[in-house]
Amino acid sequence: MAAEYLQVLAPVIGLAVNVFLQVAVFRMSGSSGLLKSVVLAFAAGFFATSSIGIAALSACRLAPADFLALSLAQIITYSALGYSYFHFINLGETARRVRILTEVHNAPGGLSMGEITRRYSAKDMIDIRIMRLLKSGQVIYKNGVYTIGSPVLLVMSKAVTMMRRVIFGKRANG
Amino acid sequence: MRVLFYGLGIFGISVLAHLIIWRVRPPRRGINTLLRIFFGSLIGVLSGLAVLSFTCPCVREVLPKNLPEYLQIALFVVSLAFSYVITYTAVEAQSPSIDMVMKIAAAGPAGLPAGEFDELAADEVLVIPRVTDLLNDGMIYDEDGKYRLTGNGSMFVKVFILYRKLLKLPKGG
Repeated sequence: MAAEYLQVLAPVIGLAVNVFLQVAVFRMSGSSGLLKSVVLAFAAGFFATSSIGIAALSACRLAPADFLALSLAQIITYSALGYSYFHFINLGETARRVRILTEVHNAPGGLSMGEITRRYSAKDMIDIRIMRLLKSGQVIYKNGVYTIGSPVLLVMSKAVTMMRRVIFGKRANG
Repeated sequence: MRVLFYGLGIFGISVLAHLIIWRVRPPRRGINTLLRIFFGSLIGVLSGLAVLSFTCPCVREVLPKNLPEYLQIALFVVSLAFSYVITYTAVEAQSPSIDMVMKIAAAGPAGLPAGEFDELAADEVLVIPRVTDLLNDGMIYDEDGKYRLTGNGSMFVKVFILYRKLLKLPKGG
């Protein structure tokens, strides 16, 4: 019975390894390479999930088909948790809502709309994003014009636009 | 096999419910509603299966066998639900980065002149609607023209602040 619970918990243990290592690697690397720390920690968590999962499933003495199906369920669960953690990091890095909430949090007396836009204006937002796109090589600036540097973000942008159409239908452009 | 079958089934039902509800009329508090759909479907289906396993011995073979199996289905669905909801947050609000990339792509090989982003940089488009979303989501409240954090908003942002402090990262945005 303990092995059955352990195989259920394998993806959660994998996520814990992922989070701990990501924080440790990023802090040790001197605040550079956030993406590298995320990838490395995800791989370590995946390894932990698979190792614990296989060991626990072996102790459960299952039919090969069930063994494979439960392994697949563990991998999907861990991948989904890892993906959510990556997005959590990304939200802190890029989300406007989190930044606005942070500004309100830092002002004990509250902030008016004017004070919010003075602390975090649309112009700041665009400037931060241009810098980020240039730094990551997604966009290139040459001779006074911007061009696409890497198709990765463009593909993601098209995917998000398509998802908006699927979810919101005609309202997607509104 | 049962974990995958029921897990994907519950996830599929939730996504279908999401698409139908949003096509008819998108709710004001999208993320909240989405979480209710996922957790409602999960609790509803698992409770139904548990009741069936006690009342209909004839179908017991195809139902989850024991508590670990129920827990594994729940964890499977919760992890997929988190992924889905967190992806939805990026889809729900039009991202400025995506608008910028699409604009550059639309300009083609000639490129987009630097000043073209100025028209995107309007507080009325990028900042004020997000403040309104935070009000609607119950993260902030308006008191005499000043926005303050609600209990939920404070709890939500403290997680990010704490995490970014741990990583020694500056304010994002």
